[in-house]
Amino acid sequence: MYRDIFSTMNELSSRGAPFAIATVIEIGGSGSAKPGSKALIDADARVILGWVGGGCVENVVRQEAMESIKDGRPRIVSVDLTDEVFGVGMPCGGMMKVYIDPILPPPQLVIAGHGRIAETLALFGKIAGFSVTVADPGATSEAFPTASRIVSAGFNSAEIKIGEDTYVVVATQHKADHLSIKKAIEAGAAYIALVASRTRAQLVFDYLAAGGIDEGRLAQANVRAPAGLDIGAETPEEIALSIMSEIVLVRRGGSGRTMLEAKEMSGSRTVLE
Amino acid sequence: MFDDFLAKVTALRSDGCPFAVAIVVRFQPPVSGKPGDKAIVQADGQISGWIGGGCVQPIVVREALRAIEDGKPKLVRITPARDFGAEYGVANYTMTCHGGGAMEIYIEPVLPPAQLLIFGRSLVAQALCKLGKTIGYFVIVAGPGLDRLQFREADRLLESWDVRGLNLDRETYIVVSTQGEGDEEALEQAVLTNVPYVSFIASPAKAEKIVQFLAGRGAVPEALSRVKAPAGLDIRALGPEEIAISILAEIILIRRSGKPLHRNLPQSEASAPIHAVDPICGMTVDPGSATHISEYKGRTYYFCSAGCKHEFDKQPETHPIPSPPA
Repeated sequence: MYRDIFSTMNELSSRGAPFAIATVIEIGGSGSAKPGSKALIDADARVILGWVGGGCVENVVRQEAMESIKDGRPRIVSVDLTDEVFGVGMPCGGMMKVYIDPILPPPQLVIAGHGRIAETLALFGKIAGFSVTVADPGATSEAFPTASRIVSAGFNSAEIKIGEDTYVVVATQHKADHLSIKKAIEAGAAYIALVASRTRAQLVFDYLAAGGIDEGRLAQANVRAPAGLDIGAETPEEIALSIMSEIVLVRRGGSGRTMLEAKEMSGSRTVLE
Repeated sequence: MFDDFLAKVTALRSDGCPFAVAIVVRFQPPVSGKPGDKAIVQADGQISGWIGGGCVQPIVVREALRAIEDGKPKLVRITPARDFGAEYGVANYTMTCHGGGAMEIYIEPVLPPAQLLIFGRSLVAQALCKLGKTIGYFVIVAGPGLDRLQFREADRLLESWDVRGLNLDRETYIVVSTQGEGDEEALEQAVLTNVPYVSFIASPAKAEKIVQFLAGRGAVPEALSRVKAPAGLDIRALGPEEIAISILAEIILIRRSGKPLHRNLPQSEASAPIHAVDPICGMTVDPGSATHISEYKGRTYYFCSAGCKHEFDKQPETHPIPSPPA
């Protein structure tokens, strides 16, 4: 049983398919499932494999699993099997708690460009749990050992697909950067950043405006140029870390201030008075 | 000649000593230093190599010490001209030797990498080690029970909380990432140091509890108040890797904030006047090596030659107090 579950999980995971693991963690009264019973459920609320109980439980668990895949949050579902009015409507008897754990494919980090900033960013991205794609004619697997994919045709090739869970960093220092940014904006990427000086960033924005992406659209897409949090980064490695920090911030939220400042601003007392 | 230079550089590098390299890049005769002449200036002001004569050397040493302090390379231009337009990264001096020549010297600081000292073997500690090494820090991990396999990238492992044997005069950043294994012991050692950054990875409630405990044990309140807890930047970091990223972002922020870096450079030479002006001829004199000296009304005067000293001593009151060149 375990073996089946794990090999199926492996298979789903390597395909990049999202799914949820539902595990019975507590049983009260009689029930067809026991603690430890598991099921794998896909994004369309279908049971792929396993068993967490019969009809009355299954519907609730499948629905909740689908929700958890959508919002990315694990949850515990309590099913009261005796309550006909507020429960699931079938007097099976007893109660059951099911833990639901969504397993989502890693977010994508697509880096256009090569060089020390791009190389370090690819490593940081991998460490932070991203699946890293490097799009650049000059990129090699020696320079980017942590990249899952290297696309020599470049960022604007059809091979590079951008989704809502894609984080894009344009670090080519090329003339065609505005085309890459445009592609990322139009595909609705989660994060778009341009590694550039303020002067060159403005130039790229001007090109974008000429290409039909106005300021409003730019602001809406929240294009970050220059890329990265303003932490005074000087070396390529420090710049890569400032970009990675910004990616985490965009993904998770937060003010970007130091934790101590953020805490003081939220009005709570500091540790030492 | 170049071999001596290279050997000296290599030795200082491997000892982790900060120094600056000075190279003459342009000259306008008559001056004694020629393009390609090189010297190494150490943090105590000691100079080895050759970049020119007595009036140039004190300037080079002074600017080299500044470069070691602020970490920025610069071009030093020494010309007979008196009016200079300000140029970014260029320090201008008036040539006070009388020959009328000019020279330009490029000075570049070579600093040992900053140290990242991690206490503990938690997952955050492991991620910090990996990320810190990639950024270029000299990474030291301290604490009992460390597993080399979990800290492959570390430059040094220390099987103890006791870090008194480490060279913490170097620019050092400390992160206490024990997460339940020796929190008190590790933080107690960390606050004994005098480094610019000590952070403690813990929830605010736990941090407060442990800080109070250490205060009760007699830890210096100022040292405790410098501990950053909660640590890192507010990017809502989730999981050990993201926490490590937020901590390193805070370290870079502090490191690059423009405040002088904490390094316990030898103060004697750096704070002594490394520059004096001969009140008779206006030449720059190195007080450390000057042999012609006079005292007048509680002030010390340095001279380039016995002739100047003699001239001064005849009528000291008629000579204005010279101000050092800008």
